[in-house]
Amino acid sequence: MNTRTLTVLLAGGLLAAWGTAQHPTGGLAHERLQLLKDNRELLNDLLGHGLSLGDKNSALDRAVESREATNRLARELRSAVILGDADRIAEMSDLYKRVWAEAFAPNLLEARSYVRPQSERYKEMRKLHQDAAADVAALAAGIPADGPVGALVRVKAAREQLEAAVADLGPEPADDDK
Amino acid sequence: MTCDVVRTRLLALPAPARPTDDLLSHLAACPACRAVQAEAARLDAVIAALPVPSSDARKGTFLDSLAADGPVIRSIPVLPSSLAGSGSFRPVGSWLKRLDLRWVGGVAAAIAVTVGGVWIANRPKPIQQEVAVKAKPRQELLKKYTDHHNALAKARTAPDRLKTYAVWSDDIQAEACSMSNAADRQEMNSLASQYERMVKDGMEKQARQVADQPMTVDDRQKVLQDAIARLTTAETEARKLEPDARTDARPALKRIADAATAGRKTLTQIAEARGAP
Repeated sequence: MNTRTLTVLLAGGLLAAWGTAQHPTGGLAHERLQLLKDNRELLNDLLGHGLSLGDKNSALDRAVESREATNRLARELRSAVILGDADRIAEMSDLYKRVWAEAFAPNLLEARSYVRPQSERYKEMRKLHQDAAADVAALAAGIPADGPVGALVRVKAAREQLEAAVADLGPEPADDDK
Repeated sequence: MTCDVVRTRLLALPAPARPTDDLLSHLAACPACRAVQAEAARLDAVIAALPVPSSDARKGTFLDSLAADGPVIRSIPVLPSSLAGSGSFRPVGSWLKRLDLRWVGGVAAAIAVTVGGVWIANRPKPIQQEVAVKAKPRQELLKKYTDHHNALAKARTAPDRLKTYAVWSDDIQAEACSMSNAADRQEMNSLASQYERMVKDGMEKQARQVADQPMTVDDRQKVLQDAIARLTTAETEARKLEPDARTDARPALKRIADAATAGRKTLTQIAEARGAP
């Protein structure tokens, strides 16, 4: 390698390093800031539900609080559907499913083990189950199944995972009035 | 005029034996080009001397005999009598002969590239191509919030909840500190408010519940020490950043540092209390 080649390579390398150093995380910081703005209210609300959970000492109460959190995420998901924002639909349905499967459903199932039939709590639990099942089905049905957004793989996956979510609740508690 | 140009033009002439005046001057001085001209003229004469079937009927019979075993073409199209032999196509043929093939090739290639480029740009994109499109970024902090929510939904004791709130407050403080050079006042204040709530309504509240539980002072200190350490670190980092931070970010960083200080003091007091605090 002669001197000229080495000089050209060195100059190119220095130029590239200089260019990179001008905005090391500019794009990333801008992206994060935008996300912080977009999600400010959602973050605040989720934090509120998280703090409320600290006061809940029964599984049914934790299920009720977790359902509030899923309802908040459902609101974001519906907005994303209206806007036709496929990435947001996918993100919100993922978060919804996580809270549903890891917080709401396990606590609701746990509540069934101790809530006595023919009690007010039983009625509350049964209604919670019915309402949640109906809501998640409606939420899944609200995600477009066709068209430019509905045809996307990630939107299809979002719809499918919500359709499957009802199964996490198990069979509906029996109607103890009968 | 170079020899290459002269030879190209010679080959494009309808009759190489009759070069144009501007070619003649070059040919007069260039024996090599004269040789090329002579060869081109000879080829022209040889081709002209090739025997040609005397009529369309005989030509058709000959072609049909070639296709007799597995015919695809049984007969060849024949020009309408009004055009055949009328000389109508002669100017076109003559014009084609005069064309510089390099130019024709260049134009054809340019058209092919343009048409190909337009087609590639406008062709319908299959659904599977969405994986190649960069998805919009997801906020890691939002995912952490839902993870903390889920951890709290599983937590059954005050120490478990305190641990989760301590990690959650760390995430808020880390986000505020890392965004302090970019975020505006509103975003920073929102994070500061969240941090304050997390320390006061989350950590301090659970620490008091820990104090209500029957356990030794040592055990209580062990339960609280991780949360105290996290608050100490948060306080130090926020205070360190505050003086050099953007004007918009300074009040929020101060609020975070103050909340961490207050939380640390409360938790330390609970940890060190003898008996019920």
